[in-house]
Amino acid sequence: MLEIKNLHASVDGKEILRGIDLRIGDGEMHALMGPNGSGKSTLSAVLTGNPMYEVTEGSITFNGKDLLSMKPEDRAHEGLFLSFQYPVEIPGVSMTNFMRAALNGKRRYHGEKDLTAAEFIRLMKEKRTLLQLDNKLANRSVNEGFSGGEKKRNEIFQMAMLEPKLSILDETDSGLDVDAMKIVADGVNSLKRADTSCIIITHYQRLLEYLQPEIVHILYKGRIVCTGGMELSRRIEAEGFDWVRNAD
Amino acid sequence: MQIEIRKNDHKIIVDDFSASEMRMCLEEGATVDFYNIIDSDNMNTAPRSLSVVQHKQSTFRFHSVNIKGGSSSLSLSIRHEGDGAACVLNGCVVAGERDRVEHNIHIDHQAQYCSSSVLYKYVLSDEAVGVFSGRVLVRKGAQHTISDETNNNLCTSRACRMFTKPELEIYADDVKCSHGSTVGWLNEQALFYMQQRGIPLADAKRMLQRAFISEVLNRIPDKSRYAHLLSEPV
Ligand SMILES: Nc1ncnc2c1ncn2[C@@H]1O[C@H](COP(=O)(O)OP(=O)(O)OP(=O)(O)O)[C@@H](O)[C@H]1O
Ligand SMILES: [Mg+2]
Repeated sequence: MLEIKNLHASVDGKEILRGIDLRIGDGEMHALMGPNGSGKSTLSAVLTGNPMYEVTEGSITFNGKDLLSMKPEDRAHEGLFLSFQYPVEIPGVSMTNFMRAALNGKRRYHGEKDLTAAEFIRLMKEKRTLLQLDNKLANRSVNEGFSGGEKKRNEIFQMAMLEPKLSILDETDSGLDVDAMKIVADGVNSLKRADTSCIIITHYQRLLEYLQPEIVHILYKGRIVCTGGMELSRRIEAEGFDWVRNAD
Repeated sequence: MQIEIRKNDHKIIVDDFSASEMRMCLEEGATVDFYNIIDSDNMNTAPRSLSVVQHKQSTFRFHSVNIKGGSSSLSLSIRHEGDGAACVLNGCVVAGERDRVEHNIHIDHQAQYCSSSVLYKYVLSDEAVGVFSGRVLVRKGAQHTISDETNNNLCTSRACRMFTKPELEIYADDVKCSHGSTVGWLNEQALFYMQQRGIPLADAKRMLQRAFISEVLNRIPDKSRYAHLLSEPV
């Protein structure tokens, strides 16, 4: 699915990612943890092609293709999805128009015809039910005036609509109440296929208990310093990151 | 061209762009919706002017839509002579290439309990030039005037230029007036968010521009007058 080799990236001339190597196979779920400011969101931004970040070294291959040479929208069309840590409000653009443009953008890229209005409405309804998202939210402008938790649920709704191959969930669990967390986790689990993969960025154990990732990485100062299983996330929950800092 | 609107009449006037100078007088209680919708058929780049005199309790609404590109220049001058007169001016402009779009507005509040509400939005790209000047004058006798004037602009290229000059001159002491203008860029974070979802950059830009002017379009009562100019349905 994804292969990152020796990735270095900087913002405003300051190096944030300092040599990342990461392989994610089809159907795998990985957790990415690490203290605040270690570079987790930067890695998501670089993967999705955010123009604010400059890649200075290294390569990323996504299903055999050179990801770094692709436009952000084409990366999405190839099946890359990011649930943003801070979803963006877009006043004046309705969720419906936004979602239709996104879906049809992907379909056109793959040489398919646009969805008919009826097909689109049916799909919206089906996925909205999955995330228990209120119809009213779907009629509003994208994320405008949504509560913190509604924004996060709306991200997973979009993931459900787009059915990506690789999803990055950047702190989707923060701001969710206990019930919403379960809805989101069930949603993510139900979208799991043998050929889809996931990177879960989180600070907490709860979502990971629902999703049961096979592999846990710890990112520290722009490098993956430790890789293991769920015992790593449990240790972080119990002890924090001091042992990682001390080992550094 | 001189147009008289009789007492309590409601007239819809659709600008055919033939006259370079128009005058209009609204008698007591008269209402006018004036549609100034520019499309490729009626393009007139010569400077034009419209002067409106409003008597008691009359309402003048002006709707200007120039979103398909093309240059235009219009001076609009409104005088409130009778108490309780109201005017609403809506303008939206989407200009590119080497277009130059100019709106000069002059509102003269001479009577009491009058109101004016001005909202103009420009989206500029390429080497387009936008000019907005809006002077609202509230004379000494024009107590209880309520006036707001807003000009918001979006620049989407380095070479485009916007000149904006909202002015408010008040000589009465019991009034509620505001005016202001902004010039901004497309929201980069929103653009990236849309691209990440698979919306091509050019489409994302178009959607944000459309969202920006929708506030003006929503203030225009008869959508069918401009609907044909939009790429997506209303
Ligand atoms: N656009 C930016 N401009 C300046 N500095 C940035 C920018 N983006 C990230 N950084 C810096 O890069 C470092 C890594 O930030 P990043 O957001 O990737 O951390 P994170 O691991 O996601 O942290 P958190 O757990 O708090 O979300 C931080 O020091 C941050 O201040
Ligand atoms: Mg982060």
